[in-house]
Amino acid sequence: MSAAEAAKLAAAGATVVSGYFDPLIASHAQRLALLKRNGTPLLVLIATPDHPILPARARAELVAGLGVVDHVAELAGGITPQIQLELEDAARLERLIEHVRARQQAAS
Amino acid sequence: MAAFRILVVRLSSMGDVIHALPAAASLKHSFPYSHVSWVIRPRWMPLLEGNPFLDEVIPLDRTLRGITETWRRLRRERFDLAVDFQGLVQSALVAAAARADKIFGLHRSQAWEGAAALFYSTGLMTTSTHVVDRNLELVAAAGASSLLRTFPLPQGTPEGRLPEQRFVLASPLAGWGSKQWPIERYEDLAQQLELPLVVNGPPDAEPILSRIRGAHVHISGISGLIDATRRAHAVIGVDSGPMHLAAALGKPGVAIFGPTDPARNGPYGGTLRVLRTADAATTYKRGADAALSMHAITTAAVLEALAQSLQEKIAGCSA
Repeated sequence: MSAAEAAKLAAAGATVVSGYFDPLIASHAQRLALLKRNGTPLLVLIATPDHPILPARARAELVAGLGVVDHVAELAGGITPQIQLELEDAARLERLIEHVRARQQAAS
Repeated sequence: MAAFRILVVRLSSMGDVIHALPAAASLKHSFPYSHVSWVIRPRWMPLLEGNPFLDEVIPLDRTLRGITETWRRLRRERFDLAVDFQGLVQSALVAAAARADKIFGLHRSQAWEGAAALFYSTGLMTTSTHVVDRNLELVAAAGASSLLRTFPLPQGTPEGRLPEQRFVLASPLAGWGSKQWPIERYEDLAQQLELPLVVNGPPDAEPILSRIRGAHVHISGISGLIDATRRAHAVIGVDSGPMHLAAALGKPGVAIFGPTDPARNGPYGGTLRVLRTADAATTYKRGADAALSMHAITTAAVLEALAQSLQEKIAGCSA
């Protein structure tokens, strides 16, 4: 889908979620299912990290395969996502690192 | 660090190439920063066009010059891992030419040509029934940890004329005649369907298809078929490439089966309804004429199954 079409959907009230999905994991699918509200289309924007494992189109293909997702587009300027899964992922990674550190300190 | 290089070998044909798409995507998804190449006959290359899970598509021509060129290219590139989905001596040789450290293929009792297994470092005895699942088992054995059931297919390009309104698409021809439903039945279908019936085939099928009165004949290559399938409201197919394409695109419709086993070669994904008589004899012998079990499927049965499939689609959308 083009950026213009995505912007139109966002303006019409779709739930807009962005993320890297690099790669797509089960918790992404669960999170998207929770964000899907009845009667509101779910638009997912594919953001790209500095060194992606998979090309954006491959990640878009996998996200589009999820039943709860209505529309997929690549992230472009002009649309502000309501939820940024890439930030949630980063926060989760941070917590994991903290957790491992805490365990190591407790063990030593 | 040099990328981990993976070679996928599936030279032909339409249905089989489609059935290997999820396995190839799984390899790319499972090995971060890998480089995935696929060797294929030039004729089937449109099926891999723009595939985001592949880094390279290598054509293997039938001419001596083409074979030599591909051979040299594979020797030069050097691969870490090769997976042969085809199980022929020819395809196994292609995998061997790449001098991969590991070559995965089916066990000699399951490969189409047992001798192909001589070239594999691992010949896997698979336990799944369907070809798609077997291919996924093969890449799981090769180390793929994330198994995807995705069919990344190109958008296709419009070829020839198609009805403006909704239509039902049928691809009456199959690789062998015994898998076909009698051609005259499509005439009955065209008469009884509420929507226009489009019959698709390659250019050499035109004389046969134009005999079907009341049907809209659509002659196209692979890209045109993909476009037509995407645009179709529903499809009617037999055990042949176009039906597997429709299944991969999640289209509703009917798949008519006779001599071959739908559990092994049936439409994947569950949007197409399979019709087969209970007493149909399973054989993979290539007969020229429509099998008796194909004759046994009536036009009324096809229409009823089509209506049910469309009902399921509506129910699925509102769920």
